[in-house]
Amino acid sequence: MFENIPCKNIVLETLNLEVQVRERTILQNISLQVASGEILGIIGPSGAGKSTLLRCFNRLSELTPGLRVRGEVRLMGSSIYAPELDVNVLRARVGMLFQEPVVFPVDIRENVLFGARRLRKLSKGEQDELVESKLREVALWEEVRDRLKQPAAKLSVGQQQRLCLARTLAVRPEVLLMDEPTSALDPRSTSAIEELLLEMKSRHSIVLVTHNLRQARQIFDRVAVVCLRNGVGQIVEQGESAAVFNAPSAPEFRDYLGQASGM
Amino acid sequence: MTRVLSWLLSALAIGAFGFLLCVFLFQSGPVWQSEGTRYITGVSWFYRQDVFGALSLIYGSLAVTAVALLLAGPLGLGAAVFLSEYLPQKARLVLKIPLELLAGIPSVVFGLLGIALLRDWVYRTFAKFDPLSGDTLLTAGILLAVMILPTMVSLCDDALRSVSGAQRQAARALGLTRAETIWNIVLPQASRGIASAFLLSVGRALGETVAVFLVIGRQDNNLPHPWYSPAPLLEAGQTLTTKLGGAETNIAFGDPLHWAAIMGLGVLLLVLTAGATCLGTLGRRRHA
Ligand SMILES: Nc1ncnc2c1ncn2[C@@H]1O[C@H](COP(=O)(O)OP(=O)(O)OP(=O)(O)O)[C@@H](O)[C@H]1O
Ligand SMILES: [Mg+2]
Repeated sequence: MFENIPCKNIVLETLNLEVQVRERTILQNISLQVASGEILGIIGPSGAGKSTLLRCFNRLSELTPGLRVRGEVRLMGSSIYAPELDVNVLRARVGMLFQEPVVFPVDIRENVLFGARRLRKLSKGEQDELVESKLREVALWEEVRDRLKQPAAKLSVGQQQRLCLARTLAVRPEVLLMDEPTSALDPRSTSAIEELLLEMKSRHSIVLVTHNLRQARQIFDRVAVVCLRNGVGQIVEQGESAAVFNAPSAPEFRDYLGQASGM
Repeated sequence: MTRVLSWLLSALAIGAFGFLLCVFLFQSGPVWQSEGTRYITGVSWFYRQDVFGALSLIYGSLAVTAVALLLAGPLGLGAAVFLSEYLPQKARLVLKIPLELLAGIPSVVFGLLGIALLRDWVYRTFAKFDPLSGDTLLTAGILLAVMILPTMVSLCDDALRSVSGAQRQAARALGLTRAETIWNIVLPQASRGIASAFLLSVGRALGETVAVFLVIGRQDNNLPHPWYSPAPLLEAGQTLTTKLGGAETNIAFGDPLHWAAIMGLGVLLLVLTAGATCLGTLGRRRHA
């Protein structure tokens, strides 16, 4: 089940990751790799532990009391649990987008600058430049260029999600984690985000969780299928996206596909 | 249905308050006629000479409240931040129980504690300023601070907790530290609730009577010169409530003008406390 990705650089990888809440094991034996310039998809039934897994990659899991993570996660070859590593720097390097867009109750411009301004000193000109370039990157610039000083909460949900993406990109992450980023969005905003992902993956490695099978088939490069096996979330299958979807072998995954397409 | 009901109840509450205020205003009529605005701006109160200037009482109330807020505000907010942002949920819930218990202690108990512990401490600590005794505005302010602290912590904690966890998580996911998240995300969003905690505490401090009564020395006509001088804080003073709670109130009842002056203090007190409480409640309501 372990496949190596030759001639590509591994950006993020996990080795035998195991997650427990108090005495209950939620995830075990998770080993996966994310290469540069690709979208790794994570798919599987609800409650299998996809969100939990994602939160291990930027150590956001540590904010959940009682959660214990064992095993190894490496970013660019070095452990993210290394004692000398600053977890806040790590989180800037591994950006995250949530299911519901979370904009801060300040104006659009301030939202984009929120994390970036903290990492490096920016002159007024550099700020303007950053705001414009990031909003352009997420295809939001034309829609909001005249109202950068307006509260971000006034944007539509789809626009808010793109703003959140711009805010995350502004801190220049190497990896982007996305937990069902389009499940709260309408079809148009969804395809906007999907286009962005395809366009962005050359610059950032992306780990994407989704329940949307069409989306998964279209934009995953490789996929890791996380399902419950004996009550514990595990990777039951992984590989090239097309191969996995066209010839699913794990029974849990077949069940999931059957239910998902039957819906 | 509930909207109509809540509107009705609000109207009822405002009506009751308005009625109360009218009674007080009516009864205090003679003093407004005889003193005019001097009733509020006048610096001396000598009821035997029919001189009624409430300024030193207003000053006493505001000074004591200011001291209490200056001490309990930062301390209460700090404790609330610790409680809400640093302690695990369980510890937080456990700690909230004694807080609510503390808030329920009768104020006369605090007054007795003030006499037993605080008075001498103030006297000794500020000995080099040569206070006449430990019964001072400062003593009353410190005691009030202790009294409003539990409520302050509890209300500020509620305000901080009302900020959604998703906001905190999004900030942390951008690489902000916990302290930066508190400073940039949590506190700004809780500011309305925190402001209303302060205002409700002001209302409580302005209205508190017995505890203050026991440690303030009840000295009329104590005003600072110049107005910003802190010197009177280490002298005995009088607040609107301690004046009203004292023996003079009973003496006054026989004399229409004197009684009007006393009821006038009631008007001032009602307006001040109701103002603070209303603003505080409005802030809380809109915040929630
Ligand atoms: N803090 C926690 N305490 C207890 N159990 C938890 C906690 N976090 C997650 N779990 C459990 O871990 C399992 C995986 O949850 P997770 O949210 O990661 O699933 P998911 O695959 O993302 O599901 P969905 O597709 O519905 O988002 C669930 O059974 C959940 O109950
Ligand atoms: Mg999830």
